[in-house]
Amino acid sequence: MTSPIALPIAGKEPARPRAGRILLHSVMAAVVVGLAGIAVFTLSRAINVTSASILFVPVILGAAIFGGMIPSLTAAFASLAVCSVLFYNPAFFLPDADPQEVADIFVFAGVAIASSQLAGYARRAAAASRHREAIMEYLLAFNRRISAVVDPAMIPAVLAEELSHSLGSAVAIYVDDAGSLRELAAVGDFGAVQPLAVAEQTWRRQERATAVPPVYLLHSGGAPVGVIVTGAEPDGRLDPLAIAAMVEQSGLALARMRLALRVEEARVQAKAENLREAVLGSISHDLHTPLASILGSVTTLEKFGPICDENTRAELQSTIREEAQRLERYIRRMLDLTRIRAGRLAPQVEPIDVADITNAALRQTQKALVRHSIESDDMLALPMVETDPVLVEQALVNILENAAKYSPPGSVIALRGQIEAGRVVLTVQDSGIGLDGTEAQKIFAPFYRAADATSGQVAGNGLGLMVSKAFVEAAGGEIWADSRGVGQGAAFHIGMPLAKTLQVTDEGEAAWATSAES
Amino acid sequence: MGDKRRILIVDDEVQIRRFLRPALAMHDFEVIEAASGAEALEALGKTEIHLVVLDMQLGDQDGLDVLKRLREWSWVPVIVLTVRSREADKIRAFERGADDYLTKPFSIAEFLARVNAVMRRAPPANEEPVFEVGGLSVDLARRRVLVEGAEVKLTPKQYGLLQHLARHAGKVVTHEQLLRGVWGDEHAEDVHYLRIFMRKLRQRIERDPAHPTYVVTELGVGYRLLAADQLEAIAS
Repeated sequence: MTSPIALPIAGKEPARPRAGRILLHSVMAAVVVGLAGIAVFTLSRAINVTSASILFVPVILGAAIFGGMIPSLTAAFASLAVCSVLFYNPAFFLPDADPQEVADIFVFAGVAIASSQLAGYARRAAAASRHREAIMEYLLAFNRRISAVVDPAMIPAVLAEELSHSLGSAVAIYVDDAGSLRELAAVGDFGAVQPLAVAEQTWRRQERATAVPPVYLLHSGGAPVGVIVTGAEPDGRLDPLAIAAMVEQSGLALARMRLALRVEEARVQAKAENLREAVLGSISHDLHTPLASILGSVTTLEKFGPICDENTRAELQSTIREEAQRLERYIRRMLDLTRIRAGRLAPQVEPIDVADITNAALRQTQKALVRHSIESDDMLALPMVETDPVLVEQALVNILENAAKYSPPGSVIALRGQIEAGRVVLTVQDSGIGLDGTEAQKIFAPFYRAADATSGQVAGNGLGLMVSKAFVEAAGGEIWADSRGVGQGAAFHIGMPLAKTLQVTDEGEAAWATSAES
Repeated sequence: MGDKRRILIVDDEVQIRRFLRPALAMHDFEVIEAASGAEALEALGKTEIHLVVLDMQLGDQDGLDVLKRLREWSWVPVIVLTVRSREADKIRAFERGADDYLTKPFSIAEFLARVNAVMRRAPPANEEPVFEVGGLSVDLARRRVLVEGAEVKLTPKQYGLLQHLARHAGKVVTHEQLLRGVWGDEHAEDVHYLRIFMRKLRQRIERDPAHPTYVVTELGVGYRLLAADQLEAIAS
């Protein structure tokens, strides 16, 4: 962010010229008049000059424009003096003056006074217009900065910073929050001033309560929205109009902020509402479906069990068992989710062989993977990792179950382990529907389901991967997914930091060592 | 041994008690039920009980408290029932004297295997000194280990580990118990040692050390040397 620009100072342009300058201009005017006199005198020898005095008028005009009233009057007197010496006859005396010469006095003085006044007025008008332009430019820049703030919550801080810089004092901004004032931003040192007390006093009376320190009520659309308290009287040279305009813009900016925040709040609420609905829908579906199968099978067994053949009975029993297991998996996920939300993961990080984790996960998923063939690297070839084995195992179980769900029966699910960039990376490669580029990112979001999966072919609630991510990260690892493309299977990777190497003799003597353990 | 073995099931859920009863009865257990900690302690005072199955969540009562009270005067074997992902609870249960744990939900085969393992006392030094599971045989009297009939040489610490596990065959032995038992109290926290030695031990006794079948890892808790019936339960 660029630094705030300085506020133009009121009254700087029409400043009075100093005495030294006036003297200099006057002397210069007199000298120019003298030179002009000599020139006219020389000219009058060659040609007939009927009215020499008229030729001094431009010099007086010039003095008036560049020097002002006193230099132009000086020029007028100098012109009279030069004329009386060179042209008037015999000398310049009022009682028997030539009417032409008397007229010259008035012309010279009149030209000097009128033109210097006119020039002064024009100069002041130009300066005032330049000043107004500078204020406009400043306010525009001020507005641009405020409206350039993307995050509405940042508006008060930027506003306070700008105002504090412009006014050259501490600034605190308060906004009306359901009847009481809330501080949004404060910049600078207020010294003995209690900004909140001052703000509240002003707010209650709805008018400026004190002149020192200055307090400004902020309005938007005629209604008060807040208060700005400053720490000290602003620089006396600041244009009050500019300050008023800034205060007005501040009120509008705060109103904009409140509106934006309200819109954002509504958006978040709507999103939460949608999520809640999705959760409820998912819970309802995922709990009811297996329950319906279980109840159906049990009542069938109760009523027709004795007359069913052995095969039918066995089928019904395995339905009950499978559906109960499905229910169990679902409840497990919900519990995991609750633990993540409640921040109760409390990871227990310890050195462990990757093989211990993969074996436990494969044991857990034996039934889910019964229709797939598992190819596994030799995990004992890997060094030990430092992680929470329980959390990583549960994440791996979710990933394996996921792989089984999205891969055709009979296909290969590969479990790979390798050292990569100072960590062990465990990879589950399936032969399923794969992922496209954007899916690899979104897949860990809650309730995300592959497009095919939402059509109902694949059971699930879109929580497994989200839980996996939370678990792996809590255990100090990383998790990510990639795919060679849609239809080419997906790969899920879990990265875990290496454990320190520990050299151990057969007698059980151990020492921390940097060399690798055999 | 003529007396029926008596088992006390402490669970506030009548369904759990109902589902455990028939299988235990079929295996010649006499089943006594208790729905609360107070009922359990009362039953323990009245009759001789050979095994307690204790739920860790008895309504609003904590199973751990019941276990603590019980352990003040009784050394009856106890299997605790927990819910998943509460490894800390399992460790606490072991610290208070539980013999094993089972995570709900569990199958009846798994339950019976655990019950049998806990009921089987550690073999006394001169009686039944050989532990056998699958192709593994540990002769505790002669300190000899056979795998598929062939003798395997183990270092003293490796044997110490196996011996400790065999004495508690079928039951979970926590990291801490193993470390204290084999290396002594000062190494109770060095899980890293244990992992390395377990790796070496498995290389000697397991058919496929990358997929061990005899000594299984109970993540976050400890190790278990499977008993013969547990090995069968897993294989089936």
